[in-house]
Amino acid sequence: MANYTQVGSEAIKPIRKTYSYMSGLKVKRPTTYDECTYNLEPKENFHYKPIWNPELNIFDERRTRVKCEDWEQFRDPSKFYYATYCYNRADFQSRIKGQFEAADRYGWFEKMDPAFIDTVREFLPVLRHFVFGESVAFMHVGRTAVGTAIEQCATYQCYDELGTAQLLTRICLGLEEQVPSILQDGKQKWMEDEKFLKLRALTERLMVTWDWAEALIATNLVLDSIVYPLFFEEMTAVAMENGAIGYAAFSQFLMEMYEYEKSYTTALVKMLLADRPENKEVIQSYIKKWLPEVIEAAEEMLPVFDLPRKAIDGKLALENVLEKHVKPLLIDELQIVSSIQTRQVWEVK
Amino acid sequence: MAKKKRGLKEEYNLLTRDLDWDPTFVTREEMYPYTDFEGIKIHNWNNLEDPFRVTVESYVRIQGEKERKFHAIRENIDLLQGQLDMTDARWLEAMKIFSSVALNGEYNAHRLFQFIARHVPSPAIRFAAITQSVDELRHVQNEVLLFNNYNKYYQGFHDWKNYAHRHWLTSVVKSFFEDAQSAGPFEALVAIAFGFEVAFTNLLFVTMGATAVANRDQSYGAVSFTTQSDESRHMTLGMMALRAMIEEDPDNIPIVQKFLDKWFWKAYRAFTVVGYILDYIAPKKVMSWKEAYEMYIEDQVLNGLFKDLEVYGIRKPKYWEQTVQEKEHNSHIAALVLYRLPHVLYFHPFAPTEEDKKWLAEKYPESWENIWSKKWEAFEDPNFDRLYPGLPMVCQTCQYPMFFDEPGQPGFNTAFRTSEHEGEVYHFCSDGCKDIFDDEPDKIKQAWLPPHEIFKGTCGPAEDLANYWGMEPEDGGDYYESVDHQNFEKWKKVRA
Repeated sequence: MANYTQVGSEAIKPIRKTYSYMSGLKVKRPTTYDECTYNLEPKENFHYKPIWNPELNIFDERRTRVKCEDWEQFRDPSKFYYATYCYNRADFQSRIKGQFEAADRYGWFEKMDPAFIDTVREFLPVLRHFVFGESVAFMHVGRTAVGTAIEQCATYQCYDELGTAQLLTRICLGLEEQVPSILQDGKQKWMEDEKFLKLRALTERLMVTWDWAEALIATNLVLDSIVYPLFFEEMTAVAMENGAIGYAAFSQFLMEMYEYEKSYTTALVKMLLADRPENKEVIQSYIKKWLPEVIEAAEEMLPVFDLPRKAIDGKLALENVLEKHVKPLLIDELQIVSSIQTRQVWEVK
Repeated sequence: MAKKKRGLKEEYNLLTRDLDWDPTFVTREEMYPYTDFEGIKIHNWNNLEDPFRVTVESYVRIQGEKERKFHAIRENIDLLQGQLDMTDARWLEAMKIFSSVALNGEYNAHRLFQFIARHVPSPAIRFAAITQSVDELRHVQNEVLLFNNYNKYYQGFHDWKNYAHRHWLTSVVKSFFEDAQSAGPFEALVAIAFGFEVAFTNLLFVTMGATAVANRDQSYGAVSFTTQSDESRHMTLGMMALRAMIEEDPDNIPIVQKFLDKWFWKAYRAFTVVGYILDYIAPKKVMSWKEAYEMYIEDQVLNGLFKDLEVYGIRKPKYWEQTVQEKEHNSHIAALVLYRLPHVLYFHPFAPTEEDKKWLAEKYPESWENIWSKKWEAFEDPNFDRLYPGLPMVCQTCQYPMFFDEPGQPGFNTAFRTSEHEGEVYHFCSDGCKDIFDDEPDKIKQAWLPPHEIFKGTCGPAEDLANYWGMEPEDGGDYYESVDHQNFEKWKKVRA
């Protein structure tokens, strides 16, 4: 067999290795990811202007305020293309399935401390709507982002967020025995509870943020870099203190989703900052607009940290999030902002 | 307390449509700015049924398995030089045409379904549409990777992106998808989900897939079967969306009818080239265009789907009779015209062989002897100058060269229609194309017509056109004189 293929390949030489336009991608040797990602987006000779937005082309760089010389040079650090994305997420879903089986076998949900169940029912079913709203926002990001590599990440994130909303729903269904109306109550809280109004207001505003880079950065570097660690790292630590393994066991999946978003967005922002200095001001304006509001929305939600039997000060939890996630990302790594302030009512040490 | 017992439908609702809510901090108009302008009325978005029930969990699992199989096949074909299993490399001319139009089509569909998912405010349509968007990304990526197997050994694949966006012939399909991309969300849904997917994709992935297999082209065989497994979901979305629009309000009927008239005709015209592939390019032929049209379009669509829609007051698409009449002729027209353009094509046209002619005579008893064989015979005259001078004039709407005949006068009388708009005259190949223009002149007049742009100088100097199109000198010319033909014959002997 080996001999057969070798003989063939010696006598019959390929006349080229890849598509001629691949020479435009600044990599040494294009990989499979590069080949099926680079330069798919149409850029010229458009026939018609969109009837719903005749000022712009079907694909148009002017749908965001940030600018870039060559958007197609972006590379996803995870190098996901459709196949590897599916392999990765299929494995991810198997792990989730295993965790649900463990939860069933060991009664993680049934034996959860009642006070902690009361904590979870207060915010977890609410967050499924939040994540769904982000997913809708990312349908627009996917449609309008420039360059295949970037919109591809946004497409996967959009689908991931639907998956996350479905995961949160399934965890809630696991708690239905204890709290039969958990999903209905959650939706009502999302609509009416003061703790979440600010978050919902921001989510709805995100869904109508038509500058795709703003929506992307606001979601991945601001909203999610606070909301995810707050509930799936800080609250997870509280869960462990309260013996609520059923909660803690699923948090890693949420954090993994956040880490994917963060990694490609960080790479994108670095590319944009390196591409031209004017981008810094634009990205700063996004952060300045969203960060104080998201911190405020997070503060509104902190009372949920008072609910567990062994409770912690919610302010401390938020402070941890800012210190461990937000500041290292925005101040140290990306250097987009120099300081981060919370509302006056309390001080971050 | 026992766990709640739920039906699958109810549980699926909780995983999808129950996630949605009515916004209060922004208005509905701000949230869904493009929902109303087309005039489609939906009274209760929750009435809309889910086209299918796929969760993210089941999707990535099923698709991941399909991908593992597909990529194993793809890598194997490459490793074992599966291209040499083909009966005849002439089949690749079909693949060159396919790759230069389909990759761009799939990619546009990927982005378009994000737009539909975002702007049609139905959670049921939204989830189906975003899933389709992800599927379409799959299709374009798999095709790009698979066609690179051919690209390594043959001409005509190496710059599909430039062929797709710059070449005069591909603008037929480019403009088809861009018309949908620039339409409102409901028209786009009817255009692609119904007009393209439901009505026509069987021809692309079933008929052409079977032809690929008959010609022992494992690559396109693999692509079409795995693609078709997603298409069935897309067709369900198309049917469900169409029914929802029709059933929700009688005022929607004339709007939907207009969409159907336009997109059936556009898709029909765009698929002309498939007839050329089935009847001429395929070395081993499975089914003629005429037979394929009868089975997939006449039986299944015109006398099937449209029959079911009659009760709602939807009639068959305008000019359907003409499409049935033309099934005898259009593949021959396309072949005859393309034959004369080997110098401006990135694939290799050719005259039918004696074997081809025998088959054509058998499949087209009514038109071959009387009309089309005579046209080919005329080309055998030693004084005949094969190369068509200059560039063909194209139809403003479908953008094919103006080569279609007057209905009922095949082979003798090229159809020619015009419309005047703002003092300019626009040209069309048919009443169907003229009607589309007359209905939306301000949109269709914008078309980037390659011959016009070439004369304007947009595409650079005329002597450098081939380069602008992304062509290498060996891309064009007759198949039987091509490097591809020579190499294939040589390599096949080496391997034997």
